[in-house]
Amino acid sequence: MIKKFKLYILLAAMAFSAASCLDKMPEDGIPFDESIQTVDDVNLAVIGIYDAFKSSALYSGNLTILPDLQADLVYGVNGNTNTFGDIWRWKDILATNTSIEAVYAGLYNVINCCNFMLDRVDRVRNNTTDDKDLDKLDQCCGEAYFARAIAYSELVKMFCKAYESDEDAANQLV
Amino acid sequence: MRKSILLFVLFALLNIPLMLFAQSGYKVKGHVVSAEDNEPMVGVSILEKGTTNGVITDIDGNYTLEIKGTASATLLFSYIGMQSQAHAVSAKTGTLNVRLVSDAALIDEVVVVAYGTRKKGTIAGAVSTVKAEKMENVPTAGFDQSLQGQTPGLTVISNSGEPSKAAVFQLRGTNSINSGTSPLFILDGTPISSADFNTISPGDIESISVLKDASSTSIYGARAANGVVVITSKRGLAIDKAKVTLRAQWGISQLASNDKWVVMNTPERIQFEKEIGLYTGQDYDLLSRTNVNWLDEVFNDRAPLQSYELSVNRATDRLNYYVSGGFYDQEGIAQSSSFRRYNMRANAEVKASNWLKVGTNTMMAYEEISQAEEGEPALYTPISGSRFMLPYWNPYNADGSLASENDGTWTGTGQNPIEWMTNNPVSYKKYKLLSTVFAEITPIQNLTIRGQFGADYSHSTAFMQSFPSYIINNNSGKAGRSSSDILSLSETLTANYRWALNDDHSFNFLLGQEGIDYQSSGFQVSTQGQNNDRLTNLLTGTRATSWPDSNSAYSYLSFFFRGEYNYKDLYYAEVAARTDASSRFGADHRWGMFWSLGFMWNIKNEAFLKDIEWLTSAQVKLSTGTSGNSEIPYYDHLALVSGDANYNDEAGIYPSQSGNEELSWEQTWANNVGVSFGLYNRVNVNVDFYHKKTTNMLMLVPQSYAITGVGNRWDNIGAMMNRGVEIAIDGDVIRTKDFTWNLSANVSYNKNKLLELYNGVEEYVNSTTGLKYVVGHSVREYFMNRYAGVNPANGDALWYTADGELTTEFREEDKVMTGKSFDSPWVGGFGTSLMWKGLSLSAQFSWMAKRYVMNNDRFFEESNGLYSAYNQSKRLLYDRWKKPGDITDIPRYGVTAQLDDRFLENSSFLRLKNLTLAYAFPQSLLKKTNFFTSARVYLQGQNLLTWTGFTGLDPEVATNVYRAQYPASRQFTLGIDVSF
Repeated sequence: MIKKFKLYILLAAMAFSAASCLDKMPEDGIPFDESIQTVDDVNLAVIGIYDAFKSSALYSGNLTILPDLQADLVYGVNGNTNTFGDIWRWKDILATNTSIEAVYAGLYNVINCCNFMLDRVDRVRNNTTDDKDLDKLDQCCGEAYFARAIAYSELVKMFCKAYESDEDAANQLV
Repeated sequence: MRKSILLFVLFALLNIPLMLFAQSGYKVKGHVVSAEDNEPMVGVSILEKGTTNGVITDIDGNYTLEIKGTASATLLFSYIGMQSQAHAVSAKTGTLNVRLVSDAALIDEVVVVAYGTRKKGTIAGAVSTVKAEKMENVPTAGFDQSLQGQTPGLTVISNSGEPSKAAVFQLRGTNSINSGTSPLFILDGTPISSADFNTISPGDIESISVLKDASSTSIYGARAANGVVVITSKRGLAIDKAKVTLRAQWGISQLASNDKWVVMNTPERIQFEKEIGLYTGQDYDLLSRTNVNWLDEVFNDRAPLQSYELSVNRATDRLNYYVSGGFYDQEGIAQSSSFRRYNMRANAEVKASNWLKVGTNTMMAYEEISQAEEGEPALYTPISGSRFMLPYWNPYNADGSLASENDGTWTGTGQNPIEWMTNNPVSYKKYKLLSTVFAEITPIQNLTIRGQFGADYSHSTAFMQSFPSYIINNNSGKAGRSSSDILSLSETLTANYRWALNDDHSFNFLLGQEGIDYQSSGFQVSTQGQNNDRLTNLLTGTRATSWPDSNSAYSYLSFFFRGEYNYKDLYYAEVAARTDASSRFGADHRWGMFWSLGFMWNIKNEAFLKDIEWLTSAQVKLSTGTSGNSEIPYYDHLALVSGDANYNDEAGIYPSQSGNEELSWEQTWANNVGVSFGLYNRVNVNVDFYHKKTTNMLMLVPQSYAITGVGNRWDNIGAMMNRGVEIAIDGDVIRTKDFTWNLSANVSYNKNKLLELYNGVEEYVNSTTGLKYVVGHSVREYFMNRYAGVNPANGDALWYTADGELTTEFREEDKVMTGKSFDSPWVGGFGTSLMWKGLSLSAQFSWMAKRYVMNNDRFFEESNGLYSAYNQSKRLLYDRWKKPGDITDIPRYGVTAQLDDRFLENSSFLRLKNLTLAYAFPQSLLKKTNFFTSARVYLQGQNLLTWTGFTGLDPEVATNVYRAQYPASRQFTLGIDVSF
């Protein structure tokens, strides 16, 4: 009986210690709620926004190169291994084209980074009293608003249907 | 081996009865031989019926038994694996010689199941077993390939000819869309990863059990939805003295099939260039002097293989050990591909007292590996490049040195793949330690409490270099190192209680708890700027180019229960339940509950069948239950912000994943009905039907980028069904003293159907994979344009529209579900073995049918204009449309290929997986050596013959696309096994 009792205690102890082992956190990530708490954190998030623009699908890649290819600003040479061949030939551009999807994804990633910061900046602002810091927050927000706007404008340019009148445009953008 | 087990038991039993009584009696003596070969039998037990008086035969098969106090007695002769005999004796008998007849069916074979072993034929679950003989001598690094075609329902595909890569496993169909589909592998009670198969020497494996239905797998709960493969390593079995076994094997590897090479040779290439107008500036007089077959340049047709293994084992009543060491060395058939392993194992079990048993299973391995690049259509890697390189580009100079870009002796476009590989070596090292220790206490009779602790540790390193002198590096080399450590700790506690009620009812209860804690950490650093070939390492670089690191962990906590009941060996019932918690889900959704019920009716033991001679055994099995799957990335339930953003050398943060705290288990409900019977003591038939339904499937559900900036999220959605039948038959066609002919075959059929997707969506195109999920179809069905051939009048390509009309336009909207999937519904194998005296011949075939694969290599080779600067298929030269009236399937030159169903090929195959011719030296000869107890030599061929309609180099493809794949190799080996 005593042996059994000991076993139960052992089991319970093990269960308890193991249960706490069930909460695993990666070393290279922090939870959303803990990520933006200070003015410095907001600034880091802004750097993250700029980093999002470095995507190879955006200004240093697909976003600028694909329209160039379509506009025939390149020469197709023998020996090309069909890189961007579908874009260059126009007719092979399919709904599942990943190069184009990457542009769409890249722009929304920028927007997501902006929204993530903008959604959390008010909490930081409420806890901030220093004028310099408040100015800094305004500056950060301004940069985020601009980044978001430019991403949206690219989306409109790339993915909205052509329109001719203002009313028409309003319908396309819905 | 079985003989020795019995010997052990006998020794224990007979110690006491050997005492003599001082009473007058009479002696019976005689000689016991085996009816099979007339050889004397050692250790046959002779017992006077109704007493404890008995002896065992000596080394020459002789015995003398003194019988006292009775005028006539009955002697029982018994030996494991032999039919027992009873003979009446009296004082007049004097000499009684006996011939014992073998009876294979009488052996109580043991089957390894979850958390224990059971006598064969007493389990309600669907379990198939593969024994050591099938694996011991396979000429491969791991045991995985030898399972192909052995077990119905188990699909094993060796997706790569790389010696260090493991085969891909799947049991009873695909049960999940995005979560894992591989079975759970358990080695001596600890879960292992398929990446570690090559660290386990196949010769150390005693048996592999494949647990297929709910009744046998549910006790593994959360990880068992794809079935469980339980691997047991060897233990000591030799009784009288330690047995030393040496196994050695030497051989070569080459391409399993090289007749599928279809690219042009030099004359064909030159003619092709002339026809399509690519001849500007070409000096054909010069070029036509070179004619290289790149297949022969890149693949070795006699890559050496050697393997040595030494083991010692012994079993006494207190101690039982198996110790082995091995060395395995195999060159791959492709460039820069090799595998070398040093391994050792020590398994020991000590009976410390009559209530305590402790033991360990410990293995260590060190490996040196290099792997060829495969799978990506690159021009500079040898396997892929061999298809693209032109036949008049020679990778070697006349003097045998490498044609180099450095000195201009390489005349081709881009890089010489062989030179590229030589200048960019990568070497891997892996260190593996897998150890379990256990203690078993028996505090009261029938109760066993067992605690096991396991540690599975691996350390892997990689070292890559790119030499500065290689011209494309521009005198600035590169070096990189990576290191990763994985430690998985597991702990299992079980209490087992057996209990019998007046001989008719017996119970067996198991209560257990298990915990697994896995952690891995690794990093990689690359630097650049080295300018000395002999000093190309990290330190000699001038700047670091990348420095990623990663740490991850997961854990499980589980409690389980199993109850077994058996009434008079007639009715068997089993109930099991398990609850699991996984760290991969949020705190509110991490516990999952799984259960199973199983029934077995041993009809043969019913009174009405007992006397039917021809029916050796008959059983009916039923089971139902659930199991789970949580094979998703470790942290995906969490909403996380990452810090690896960098702008202008300032680090920033960004939201990296939005998480889903609602995420939980995927669950598979499985039902099984099985019948097995034996006929005439010769033939065994086993038939199983199953129906499985997976719900709450873990899927990367597509969502709008506008929500979180990513295109999908993990969610529990939908339902899927797998239904199938498995049949296995084996039997001895001929069984005489000297000659045995055995045949075995198995076949399985599985039907997969998607029942429900997410948010009421009925179909989802899987981006660029050529697949589409449609409710009511197989989850791995191709969705493609149908190619209709070539218009004979003008050479245009034609396709069918979705409605079946002909069109010259390749349009997205004409894609249809093809009814073809890359999961093979039909899988099977068959084998035969012939034994005549010491000589044996065995053959094992495996096959798969109705399996389709997108042959991406052919898309490049028959591009018809897209890749003309590189080598192309001969078919483009000979079979393409050239003039009105040509009936062919390749359009006129310039009408480029599209990824449509013309490249979707049937990759069904039949393969002679293994053929072994062996000779075991007779005992009479070995006795003269006074040293060896057994000796065997054999010749073996692996992947000897392949029949397939697939046009790629090898039909064993585990994924939907066949592209620059390292093809399977064929091995010829000569081996010896000796023991003393």
